[in-house]
Amino acid sequence: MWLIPKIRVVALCLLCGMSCKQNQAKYQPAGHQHPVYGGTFVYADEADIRTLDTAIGYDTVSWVAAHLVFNGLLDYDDDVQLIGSLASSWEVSEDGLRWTFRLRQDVYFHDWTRSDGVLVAGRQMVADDVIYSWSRLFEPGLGSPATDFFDVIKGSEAVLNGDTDTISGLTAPDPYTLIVDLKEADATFGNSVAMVFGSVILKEAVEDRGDRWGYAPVGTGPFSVSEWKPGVSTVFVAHDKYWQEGLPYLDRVVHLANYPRSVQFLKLEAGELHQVDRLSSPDYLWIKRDSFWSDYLSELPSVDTYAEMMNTQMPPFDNVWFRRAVSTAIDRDKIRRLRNNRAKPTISWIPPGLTGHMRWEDLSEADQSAFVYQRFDRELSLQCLQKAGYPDGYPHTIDYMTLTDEASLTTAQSIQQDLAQVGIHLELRNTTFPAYLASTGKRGEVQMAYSAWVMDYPDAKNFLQTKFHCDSISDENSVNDSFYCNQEVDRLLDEGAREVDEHRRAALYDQAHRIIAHEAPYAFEYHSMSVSVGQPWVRGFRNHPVWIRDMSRVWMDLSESDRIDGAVW
Amino acid sequence: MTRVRSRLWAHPGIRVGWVLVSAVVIMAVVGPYLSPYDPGFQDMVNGIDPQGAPATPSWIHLLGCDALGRDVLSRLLHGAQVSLLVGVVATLISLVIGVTVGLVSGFFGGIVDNLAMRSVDVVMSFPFLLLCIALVGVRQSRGIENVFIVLGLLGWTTMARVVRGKVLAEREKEYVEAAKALGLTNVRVMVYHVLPNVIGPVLVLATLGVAGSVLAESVLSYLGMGVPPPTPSWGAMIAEGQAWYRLAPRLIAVPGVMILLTVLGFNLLGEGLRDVVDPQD
Repeated sequence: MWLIPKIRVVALCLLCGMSCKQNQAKYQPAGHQHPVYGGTFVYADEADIRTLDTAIGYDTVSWVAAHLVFNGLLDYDDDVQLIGSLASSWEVSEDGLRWTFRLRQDVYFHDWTRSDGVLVAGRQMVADDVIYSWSRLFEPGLGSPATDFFDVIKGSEAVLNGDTDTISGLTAPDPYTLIVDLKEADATFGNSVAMVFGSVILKEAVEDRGDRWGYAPVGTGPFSVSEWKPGVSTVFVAHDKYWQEGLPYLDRVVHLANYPRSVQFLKLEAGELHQVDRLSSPDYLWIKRDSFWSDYLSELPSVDTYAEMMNTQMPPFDNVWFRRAVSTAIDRDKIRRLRNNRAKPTISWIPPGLTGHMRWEDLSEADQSAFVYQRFDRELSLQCLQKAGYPDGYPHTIDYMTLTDEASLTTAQSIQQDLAQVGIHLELRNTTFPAYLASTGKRGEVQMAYSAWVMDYPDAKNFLQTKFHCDSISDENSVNDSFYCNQEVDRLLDEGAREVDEHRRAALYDQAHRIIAHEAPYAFEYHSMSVSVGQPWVRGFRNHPVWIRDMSRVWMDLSESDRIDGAVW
Repeated sequence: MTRVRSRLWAHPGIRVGWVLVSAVVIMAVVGPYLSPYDPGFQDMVNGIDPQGAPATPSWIHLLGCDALGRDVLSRLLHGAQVSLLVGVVATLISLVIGVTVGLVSGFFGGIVDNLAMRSVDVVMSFPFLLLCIALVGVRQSRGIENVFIVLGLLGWTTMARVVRGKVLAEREKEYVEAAKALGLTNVRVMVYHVLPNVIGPVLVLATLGVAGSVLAESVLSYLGMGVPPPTPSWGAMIAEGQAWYRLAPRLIAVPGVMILLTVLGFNLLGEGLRDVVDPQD
């Protein structure tokens, strides 16, 4: 008699499948009031860390990892204000030409193993280490993108030319004082110092490891690299002589490479990842509608701009009218809808929160003319196409490069559809992040591509100079990937960089911004929201505007047994 | 003729297969004219909800919309054309290559046979996906012609082996001797006398080959190596819809069921034909 109801229950549960399952996390928070030590934090990316050579890596995946291993002299607080890091204090001379940094005396490098197998105890960091680290950026043949940020230091070009190994503008009167002499005043030099490029590295280890340095670095950060399986994972272990009192709380941080975004949330649900950011649309909507995970969702406006890059040195984008036709054909509001309102349509390359950000509604009619090619207007697009010499549409297919994730593909297909409406046809080529960076940075390689810039430091210079100055162009790894070069823009940007007066500086950048918007090497599209979800027991994780994922203060609010269990990944 | 037709129709597999295949063929031919929307049209009013989720089925969009607000039914109808075109063209390519190689190899034997069969071994041992990736890389572009070439160039080997086996048996028969004795050229003997006697298994294999090609096209498009967007293809529809498996499982289920029915139809038809044409197998 009792068999029948039992069968029914089993059948019902089978039928219900996942829907019967109560959605919950693997562990419950233990309720600790203060940080507890131990545990492993696991996060994943769609790509591998490109390199941990801080002179080379210039992408978000590499920077997040580099911030675990290295420190610079300066850092940012949560409000993106400069604070001391390896420098306990710093001062700038009145004329802005001399910067003096007082270094901390309790900073030690990680212990490291020499290539002959000898374990070397990490020694104390001194000013000469900073001089070496910054001089190395100019090493001939290294091709560091950092030179654009540090070439304001006196004598840097002599290192780049191979005349000397050390920048003459860097001097150390004693082991804990660094004096930096600049060629000209630079209002953003402090920001340059705080970039990952300014990290302090260990000379002995660089020389010992040679080509392997990018995979086996030694720094002063809260974690050191203990294992790197390229394409699979990187394990970071706690630095026991870390200078920040009591930090880090975690034993290990693990980065898993090449995890598609759609898989990351599944892994989080299974308790195998601790935090997932840049959620895909389906995951984001699912979490928002889920009674459990929605409590652990965090949404913050990012300081970034997404855009379409058009290579101005390749036809048909060498024609300004064609670029304008493309830019005005893209329906930005449609992208906002497809991105679950997480994309804020824009006409401005400089994102909200930074001086120089523009909103169409705030512009006078006269000012609007400068930004008129940065908004959706199909009629105008057709007129531009006619002026470009293609009244019946462009007869060839344009090679368009994008990434493989759901968001990039959705946006790409939407743009493909928009451009088809005016007679421009795109062929989509989706590729991995490292391949994308390599291709778009190569001269004459990619006609058009998805592009984005996330703030390195809170200043318009970082958005304008880095992406649109002629000096940012190189044959390989070009950061200026539209290869846009305009002498007038360069003049304004150079003057702006030298200008100490905030108002005059803002006006110069404003002028440059207008010219760029008007000439449309990029079609500006939207500013994004940083959306992430984490495990309920993870404490101290910060979505940082510059460092994106800051794991230096993370601790696990778990019982001891769960902490040991959770350390196995 | 009537006897053959009644024998064919008497087979239940052929009946079901015929109905399914006819339905897909009609869908591919007439579907695009009946399709309610352009398959690339993004309906931003009714196709996407305010939060950005694809619209559920309604009277406006009978099978709902995909993540870009495009009508699923319209894409399904246009996708049928792609799937069937790939299936038929790829099979035709392998048919021509396979039958030619099999005929020549079986008829002449000796070194010709040896060379032909070793090349079959080489092609059969080549990893299918690797070749696809290589081809897409070499051609620097994605397009439906890549799919034709890859499937056609890899699909002929079984056909060549079967035809060769049959020809080996046929060439010893008296009618071949007689034809040769009459002074006919080898080509005439092969084409006019041997070929008609081996065509039965070829037809069966071709039907099964269409099913295999339809499936292979779906796999390639799913992996992003098939038909490029925005051209709708059932495999690509699954790839685009897979991320939505929790909120909109129909985005995978609908094209998935269509692939299933099409492949099932061709397989049933092929197996049935084999039963009728070659009962001793």
